[in-house]
Amino acid sequence: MSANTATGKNARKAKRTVGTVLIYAGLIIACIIVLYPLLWVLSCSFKPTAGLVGSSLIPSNPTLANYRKIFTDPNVNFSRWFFNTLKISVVSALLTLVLTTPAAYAFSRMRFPGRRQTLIGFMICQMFPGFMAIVALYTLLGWAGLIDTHLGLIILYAGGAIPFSIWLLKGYFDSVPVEIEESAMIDGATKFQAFTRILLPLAKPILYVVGLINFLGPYAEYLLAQVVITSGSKWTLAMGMRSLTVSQFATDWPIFSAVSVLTAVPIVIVFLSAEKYIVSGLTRGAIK
Amino acid sequence: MATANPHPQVAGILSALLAGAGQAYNGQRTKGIAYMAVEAVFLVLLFTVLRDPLYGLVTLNPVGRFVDSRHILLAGIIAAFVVAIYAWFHIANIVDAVRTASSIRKRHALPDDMQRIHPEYRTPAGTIAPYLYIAPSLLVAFFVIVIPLAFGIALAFTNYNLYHCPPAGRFDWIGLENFRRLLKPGSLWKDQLDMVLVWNIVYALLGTVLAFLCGLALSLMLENRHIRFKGAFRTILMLPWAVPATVSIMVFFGLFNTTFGPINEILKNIGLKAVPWFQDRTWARVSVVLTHVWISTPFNLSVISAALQSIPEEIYEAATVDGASPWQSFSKITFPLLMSVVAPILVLTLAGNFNNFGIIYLLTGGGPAVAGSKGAGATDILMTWVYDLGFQQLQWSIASALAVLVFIFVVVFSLINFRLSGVLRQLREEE
Repeated sequence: MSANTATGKNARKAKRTVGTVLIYAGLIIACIIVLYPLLWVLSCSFKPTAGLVGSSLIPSNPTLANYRKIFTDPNVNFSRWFFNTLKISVVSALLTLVLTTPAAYAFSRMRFPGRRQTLIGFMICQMFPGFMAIVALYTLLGWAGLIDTHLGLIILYAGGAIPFSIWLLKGYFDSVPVEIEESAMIDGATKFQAFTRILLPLAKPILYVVGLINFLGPYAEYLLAQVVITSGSKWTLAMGMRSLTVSQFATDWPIFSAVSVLTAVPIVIVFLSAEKYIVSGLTRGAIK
Repeated sequence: MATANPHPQVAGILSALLAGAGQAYNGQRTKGIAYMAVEAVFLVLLFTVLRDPLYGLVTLNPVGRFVDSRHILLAGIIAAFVVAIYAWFHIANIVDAVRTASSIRKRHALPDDMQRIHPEYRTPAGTIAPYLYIAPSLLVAFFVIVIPLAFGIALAFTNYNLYHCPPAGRFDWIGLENFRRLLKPGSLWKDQLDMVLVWNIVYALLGTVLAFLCGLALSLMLENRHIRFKGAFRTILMLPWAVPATVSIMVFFGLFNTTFGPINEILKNIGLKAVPWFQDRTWARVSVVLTHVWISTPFNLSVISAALQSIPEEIYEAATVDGASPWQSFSKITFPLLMSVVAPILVLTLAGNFNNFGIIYLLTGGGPAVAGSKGAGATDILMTWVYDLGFQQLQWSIASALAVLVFIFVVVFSLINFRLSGVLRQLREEE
């Protein structure tokens, strides 16, 4: 009987080892599928412009010429694209926060006629295909003299992010106990002070998350940018990259790769270091 | 005029005739004067600034400064919203007068609905405060979201196309004609719509389900107790989410490329045939779905991981003690619990994928072309087709009508989801 249990144990152990090996194999295959496209672009960015780019991950004559070119060639003005993009994304993220934080506070802490209707209205706005707004947005921007300006694009990004951001912030504010603010107000703080001095410091994590999401969104946005911005000096990274993939392209691919790498690396670093917060910020409402 | 024992009906009728009159009759003099001032300002606006735009909205004829049909329509819509907002105020004013009067009659100090409100908001300043907090957001959202969407809907009922294109031409109201053309059985438009809609649904479903299954498989693997280097695996697997989607899509555009793309080269090296990725309708669709799955799996992975970790360990221990096999504990415990948490998110991503414009626009551009004259390609979903109809063919009116159909589709779908996930009920309970 003891021998039986022993073989049973061994069989189970062997089965488990096979299972573990299969899982490792699965994970490694998944990692290869994830990494290959990324490593391929990375290696393309070091390949000489002349030859075929090919499928190998190790460039035969590695060169920095592509990177040199995107900082010197007037047609591939990476530093300008990058600066434009950074400016637009940072300002629109900040603008979204400034606009939506007080509103989310009111929706979370105050009860007033029209509250529920406005929140549901925001939700419905999110379901409209953005395309429907484009003709009117273009006309409105024209009236305001904001066609082909970064300010016009910033207003569109910040405005479009309002409903989603309010919902996210409101969800977080709801989870912060109201008692802390109430005791501060008993001690003589006004409602506004309770908001700025008590709630906002407690809500820092979600402020970072909402700011970050609204930075990442515009960073690589293409469609609206292409409608609003026309002159080349005001292009964003996404517009610049698109111009490289559609124009004479087999030869431009290494250049495009260099631009992609420099575009993606800062975002990947930011994202991975903040991933935990982003995930919890996005899923907080749904997973309790 | 103020009376100690106001009659609700009288108060209501007075307020209906002149905003604030009922309030004054009830004895709230300051409030009454403020409301009258609002009505006076509105009436002045109505007969000055708002008159031309409202006239233009009805007729779409050039009026005053507005000559371009788009400008006429846009100004008219803004004016109509001002009227609607005032109408809301006027109705609220009547309701307020009636309620105040009846509660004074009942010798209540305050109207019923005010009793529920925190004492702080009973002061005029307290009533206005919440609106001051939300005003900046509302104002921007009004001009960037609400007005443009209303304009987009309005275009669906006009004949704004290549032949009626401002500034040179002008467009007019044509009622439901666009929808009739799109939905008439047997017409070319209807055939195209059917083809695009079927692929759109298949794409949204396939993309969502495959990404979910990949995310589920990977998160189950990562949950396994005997696996090491979990952190490293996780970080690598999250990379597609970290890379901006626009960059990833353009990279896949190169990977699938039939002249220099490495995927075909690898297929040839392992003895398979090169695949005409963007030239063949089926393969183009496959490339779109594959790209989608690559990009969206990490999101699913992280949501599913978070949900899995919220399932208490004890349930599994109890199941193991009761002799459940791993498959049983997965299918009877993990999966149902997981779905109850993840289902709302899944439905929401499905609705989002339905309009996932970026992948198709930047990868295949909707192509390859399909025989037929309305321009929809094999991988076109409704939104990319709409975009093409508008920007390339200047068929703005029919494009807007299509967008309205998409909207109806998504709203019905999402309302079911919200009903299921109880968002609406929760909002009501909060108040």
